[in-house]
Amino acid sequence: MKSMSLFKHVNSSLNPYRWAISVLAAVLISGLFAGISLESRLDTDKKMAESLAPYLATLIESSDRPELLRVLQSIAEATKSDVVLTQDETVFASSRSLEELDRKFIKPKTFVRFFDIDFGNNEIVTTTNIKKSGQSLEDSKVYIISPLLPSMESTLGIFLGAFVASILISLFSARQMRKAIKKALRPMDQLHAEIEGMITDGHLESEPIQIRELEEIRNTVRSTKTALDNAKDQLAETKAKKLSSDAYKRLIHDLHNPVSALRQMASLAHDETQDLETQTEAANSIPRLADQILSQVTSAKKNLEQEPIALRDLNIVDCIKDGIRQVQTLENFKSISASFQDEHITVPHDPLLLKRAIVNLLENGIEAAKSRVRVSVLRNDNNTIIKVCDDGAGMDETKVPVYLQGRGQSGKANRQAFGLSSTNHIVRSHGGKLIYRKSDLGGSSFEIRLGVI
Amino acid sequence: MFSGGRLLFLVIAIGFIIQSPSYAQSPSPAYVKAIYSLPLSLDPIKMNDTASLAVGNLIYDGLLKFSPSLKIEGALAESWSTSKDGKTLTFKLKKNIYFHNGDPVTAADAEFSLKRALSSESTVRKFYDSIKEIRSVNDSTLVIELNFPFPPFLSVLAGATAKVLPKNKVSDPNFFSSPIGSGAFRFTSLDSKKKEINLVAFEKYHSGMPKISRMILKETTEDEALKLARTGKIHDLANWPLTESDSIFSLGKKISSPVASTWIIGLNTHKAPFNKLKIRQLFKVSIPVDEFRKTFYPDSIKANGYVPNGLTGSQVKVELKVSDIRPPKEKITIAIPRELARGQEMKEMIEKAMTSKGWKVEVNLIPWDQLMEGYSKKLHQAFLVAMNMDYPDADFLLKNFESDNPDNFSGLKNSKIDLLLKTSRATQDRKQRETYYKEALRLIEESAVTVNLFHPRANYWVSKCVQNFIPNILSDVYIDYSKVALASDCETNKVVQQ
Repeated sequence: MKSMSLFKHVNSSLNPYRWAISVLAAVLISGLFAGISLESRLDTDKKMAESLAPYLATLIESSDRPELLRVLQSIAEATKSDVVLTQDETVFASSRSLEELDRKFIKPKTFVRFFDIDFGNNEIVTTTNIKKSGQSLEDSKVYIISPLLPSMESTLGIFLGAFVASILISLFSARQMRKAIKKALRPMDQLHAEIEGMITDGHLESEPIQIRELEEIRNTVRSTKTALDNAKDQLAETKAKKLSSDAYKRLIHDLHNPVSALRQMASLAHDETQDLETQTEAANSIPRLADQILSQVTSAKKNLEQEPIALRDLNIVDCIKDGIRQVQTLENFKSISASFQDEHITVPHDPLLLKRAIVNLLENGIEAAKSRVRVSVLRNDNNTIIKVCDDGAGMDETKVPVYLQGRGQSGKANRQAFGLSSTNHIVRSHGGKLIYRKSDLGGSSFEIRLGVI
Repeated sequence: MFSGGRLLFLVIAIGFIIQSPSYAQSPSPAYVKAIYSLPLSLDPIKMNDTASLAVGNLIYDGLLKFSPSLKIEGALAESWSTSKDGKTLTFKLKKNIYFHNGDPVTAADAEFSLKRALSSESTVRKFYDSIKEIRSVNDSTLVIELNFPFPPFLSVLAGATAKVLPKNKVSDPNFFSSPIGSGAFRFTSLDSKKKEINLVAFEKYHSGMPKISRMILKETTEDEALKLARTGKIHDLANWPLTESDSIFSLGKKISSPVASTWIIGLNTHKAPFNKLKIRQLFKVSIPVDEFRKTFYPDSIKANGYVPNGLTGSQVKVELKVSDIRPPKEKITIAIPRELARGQEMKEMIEKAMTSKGWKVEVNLIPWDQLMEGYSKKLHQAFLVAMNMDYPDADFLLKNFESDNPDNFSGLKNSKIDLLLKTSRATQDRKQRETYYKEALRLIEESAVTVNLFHPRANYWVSKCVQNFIPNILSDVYIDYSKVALASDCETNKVVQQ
């Protein structure tokens, strides 16, 4: 399902109602204006005729047709209509044609009557009885015959004008509403940004949110974040303790054999049942074994002295690239190639410690390599495999555990032994494994296997 | 034209053989208007017939004019004002107004022309008798002082006799043979043989050059005019307000309008037995007015009284009580124009109806000129005429019945009527004046000097080529031909080949 912004969602949800209400309101308002306009126009005609009625009555009584014709002409010009005055249904005066004078008045056909106004196909007829001093002059009437279309034109014009104005006001209102919705949703954006910041940067500072509910959400998120951080710290502490415990257990386990060997050599050295050569060899082995034990203890001490691990969900590729760059600044003669199955592999790790482990493997590889070191990162089910291979002579596989335990002695004054031991410790601290294999390049291949999120 | 009322015989057929005009091909089509008679005079102050007035209105302009619905508008006058007492009228003339000869029209011309209307030679003097003084203040300002405030005076000035002539040309004895005015059309010739008047559009006309470039006014009879119209040789029969159902309308446009006119049978009080009021009253109610109207002029308007519909006084109704009166033994002769299309039928109907009611009535069909002559000499006992109005005010028609009016065709003398009319003219208040009019009309109706037959409804025929023809509810005299046009795709001027 395609997702959309909250603003769009609110806007599109409101749209049908907004348009329907706008159009309905526009029609009602413009209809009201048009109706008032038409009624006012026709009422004005009628009132004009009524106000002139006493004068018209006088002229009728005087039978002064010339004057009546002048008056009707004036009314016709003022009302933009035809005006006909009848007496006993015979045209006595008319503004439209002299031909109809003294003829039977033929009233235009009308089909609907609204108050005193008749609507025909082509005209609107307003009829007024001629009255004088409140008394109707028998059978004398004034008909104001307005052409329907021009009369309706102004009404229609007002209708359209009011309609357009209403629509424009609605559009303006809708625009303002959109702005208002945007403005109203701004605290949501702020909250969203702040939650993002909390997750990515741990940034907790912010402006106050004016919306109570959002403020409560933010506080909830903030307290949850704090609780999570605390839980994480506790977890890290617990994990560190466990790692420390595991390291001690491994040390104890690793020391068991040399110490047993030392005990056995000491026993042999003093076992008079043994021949001298055996005793001598045993005696000679005792310092060597003691040195091994001492070296192992020293290495374990160093590993245990390292800072506690801080795991974070970060891209491990960035960490590896950092390590390669660091090593490349030192080595210019042997090539380091790198290949990554994916440019973005999120693995929980401590970038500082893991980079140190990788740098250790790279330095060992460069030292052992004839010409090239290859780094590759693979993803396999739930594991991420970082391989560091070289084309050197390779290591005696039987001695690898010794080096990993920190008991081995290299030509570099135990450096490699300490490096592998440290690397192993770091990888184990991440819950991973460090595995040695013969490299397809001919030298060593160390694999760091870590779990993937 | 008779005093107080413009008498027009609407349906005359002057018996002459039509000389179908032969119009040479001309660059622009001419608008051909048929007229029932050539003008008897082209001098505005001597125009007593509608034919003269109609032609005069094309050639001359006055200070004011009537719109189709009788609104008073400025013609040569740009604006005008009336003093508070209603006795001083000040007119400002338009700029750039010219006579047909190119001379500018000035206030001095207007002063001169209106003074002519008051002169002894004027036959329309009675319309202007309210004038005390006329003076031109400068070239564009004219002041008219009245003896008394007379509100209808503006209508008089918009009428067809209040025209402005060029002061320095009128003294020419031949001026009215080739008149110069400032109207929409310039007079070019009068062809007595062809009975035609030729006019051309006046290019400097103050309201813009008329759309008709040439106009021919052709005298003809109604029957001949209809024939010419059917063959597309005439554009305009407005001189004959036809019956609505006339088949000619299927070939052209019908433009219908009421006009301020009343057809009457006038009764002469100097001729027995009409010297007796009761006889006149009985005669008035005995004439089959409704039957006559419905039979011969079904689309006309029923006449309530003497004044046409739509004018103050038209609502005056008088019920005459004649139950105890018997028809006289004397024979009564009614003169009606012989040229009336259905004159014989009219004669038979009236005679039959009146005989059945005990009257001895003879209807004489006599030629129009004889009827007119008898009218002016007050020789007829009774006569059928149409009373038209020069301005839309009852005063115009009521003048007919003033005792001292030489055109008082009835010979009626009633001091009450005289007083009411005199008082009404000096009354500015519209309602008060209306009261006087109504009372005067009531007295006239009670005097029973007119049998009011109907108010005609004009149905003008014009060709389909004619555009912007707008009738005038006062009279066809006032139709504004400066706005009338011929459709560009019409060539009705393939007119009449002899």
